[in-house]
Amino acid sequence: MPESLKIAIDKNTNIANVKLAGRLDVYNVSRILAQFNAQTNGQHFKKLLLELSEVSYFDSAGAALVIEIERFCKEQKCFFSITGMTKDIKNFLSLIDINSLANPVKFITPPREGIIIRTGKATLKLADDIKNIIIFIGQVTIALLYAVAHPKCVRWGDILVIFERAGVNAVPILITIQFLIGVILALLGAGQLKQFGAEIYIANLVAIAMVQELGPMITAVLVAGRSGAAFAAEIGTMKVSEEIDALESMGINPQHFLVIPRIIAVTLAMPCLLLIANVAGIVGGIVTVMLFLNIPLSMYITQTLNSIDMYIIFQGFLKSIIFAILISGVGCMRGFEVKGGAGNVGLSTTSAVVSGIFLIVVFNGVFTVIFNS
Amino acid sequence: MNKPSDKFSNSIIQVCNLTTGYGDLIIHKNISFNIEKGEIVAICGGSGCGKSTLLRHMIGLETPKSGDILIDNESIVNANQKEKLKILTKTGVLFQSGALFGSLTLAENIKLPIKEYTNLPSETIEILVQLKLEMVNLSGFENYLPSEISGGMKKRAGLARAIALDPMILFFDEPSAGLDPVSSADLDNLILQINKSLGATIVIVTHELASIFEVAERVIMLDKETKSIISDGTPEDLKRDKTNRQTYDFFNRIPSIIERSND
Ligand SMILES: Nc1ncnc2c1ncn2[C@@H]1O[C@H](COP(=O)(O)OP(=O)(O)O)[C@@H](O)[C@H]1O
Ligand SMILES: [Mg+2]
Repeated sequence: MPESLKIAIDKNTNIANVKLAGRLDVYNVSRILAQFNAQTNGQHFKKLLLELSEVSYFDSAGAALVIEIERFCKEQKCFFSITGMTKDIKNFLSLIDINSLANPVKFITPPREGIIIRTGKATLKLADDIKNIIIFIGQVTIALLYAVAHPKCVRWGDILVIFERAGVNAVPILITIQFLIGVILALLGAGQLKQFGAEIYIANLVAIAMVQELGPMITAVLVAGRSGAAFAAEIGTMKVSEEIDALESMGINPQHFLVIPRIIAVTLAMPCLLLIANVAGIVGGIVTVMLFLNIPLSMYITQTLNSIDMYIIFQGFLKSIIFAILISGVGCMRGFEVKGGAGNVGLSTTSAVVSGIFLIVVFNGVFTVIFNS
Repeated sequence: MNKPSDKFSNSIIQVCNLTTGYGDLIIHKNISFNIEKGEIVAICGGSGCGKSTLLRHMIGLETPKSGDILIDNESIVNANQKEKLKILTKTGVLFQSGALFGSLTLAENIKLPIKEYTNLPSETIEILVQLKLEMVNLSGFENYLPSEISGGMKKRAGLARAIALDPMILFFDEPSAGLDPVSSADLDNLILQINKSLGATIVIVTHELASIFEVAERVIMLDKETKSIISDGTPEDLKRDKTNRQTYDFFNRIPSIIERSND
């Protein structure tokens, strides 16, 4: 039997007899509802009798239809009753209280706040954030000192694994990036220095830029994107799945267990990466010069070696070690900040990368001022 | 044990010569059984015997090594993506943790499958949501986030979402895990009511004896050693059946580590 709706209205008594028949499921209820609305539009009844005896299939969609009709009646204060309920329908409706459902409830999506409130909250959060970073740096320093004093307690096995992931695995991409930057620097320098016949100074440009600034910075940004993010995601997931709570409940300090190995591993990996990065950049410069300019290789290399001294090299490595601690620390910290569900792990990962890069840039500025004054 | 009959039958689920596993590891070896419309079946067995694995195969999340699974006479194993979706509208699953989406309110969680599969007007969808929440006794919690309600409520909300499209078959993975006895009994009660009022077939993975005796009409017992079904029958029968030691121990709560003096 096809689904159908018949409405018979007694004009004298103003009673509507509504008869539903056939299969009432999610696929045809909306059509029947549209028919009902069209046929009853603008009418007022004293009574509405809903007849269901010929309904062959009834589920929630049918129930929703019945409730819509009931709501229609309630709105115009017309008497509503259902007749001819089959056993199936009775069974189905036994689970619910159809009268209470006649009152619609309000569905609220958690509201988005206005721009002013959000700006205010963001400012407060920033202040809070700075405080948290300082507290975290303090905690990490204490934990690091503890680790130095008790080297046996440090999880060297973990450090090895993290060193491989954060350090060794980053080498191919780092070499590619640095080599290309070396090429770009050399080409840029060639264009400018040629005008003065001073092409040989390309060697100085590339070497100093690499060793002092770009090497530490690019390496740090890469590590922030790879490992800072990974730490935040790992620790955040552990937080969500109560693994951090489990550590604490066993009396294991999560700082010692998770943060120290990560910071130590990245701090060990970073100078190695920096060395590789510097060499790759300088090689990029050399290859460019060999291909496009006729400067003898030995002369270029001598010029390169003369241009950098121990002080510059020391600056680069000192910076990269500080960056390593900042990046891995802030990555772990963002992980620990995760509250609630999986969505927040994503947010904390993003925030780990952003704060990591931010800290790199700020501290790089500070170092440049210190070293040049 | 029921033998799987020819292709078109009354059985709503037919598992035929199913062999499953991960990589080289075989979990089930050539198992077959049928589940009839409206039945409440418990799948049980010790930890790691592959109950969840069997369930994941029945809802098409994993592909078996060989054999077939028919849901309402359609193979979910050989179905293409579109056919699979159609089969899946006939089933609902309540995962162990409830698996509610944390960023959505309860109402939005339930709306999700309804919006995805139907083109009902939003007013009707809202009535449906209200109806489902009423069915699981969560009226008034429409606008709560999952993180704001208790474990038992999460399970019930998950159930409301699982029944959003009035499925013919409902799968439960360890519904009583992590619930207090009262919430667990509430959930059992709800399962029975849903079976009665919606006529849904219900498949429950559980090792909660109290639940099994409360709701299950039939128990399928899996075994890790033989990778097969070792018992199939009513809970009362299995409890009395002494021919199979594992089953007897399971139903009479006999630990496997005690010395059996009567051996
Ligand atoms: N994704 C997977 N990969 C490999 N092995 C798995 C996977 N999931 C489960 N297993 C293995 O399959 C077996 C059965 O697991 P499962 O179905 O979860 O058991 P149960 O739910 O009965 O406790 C276990 O031995 C488990 O280690
Ligand atoms: Mg399981």
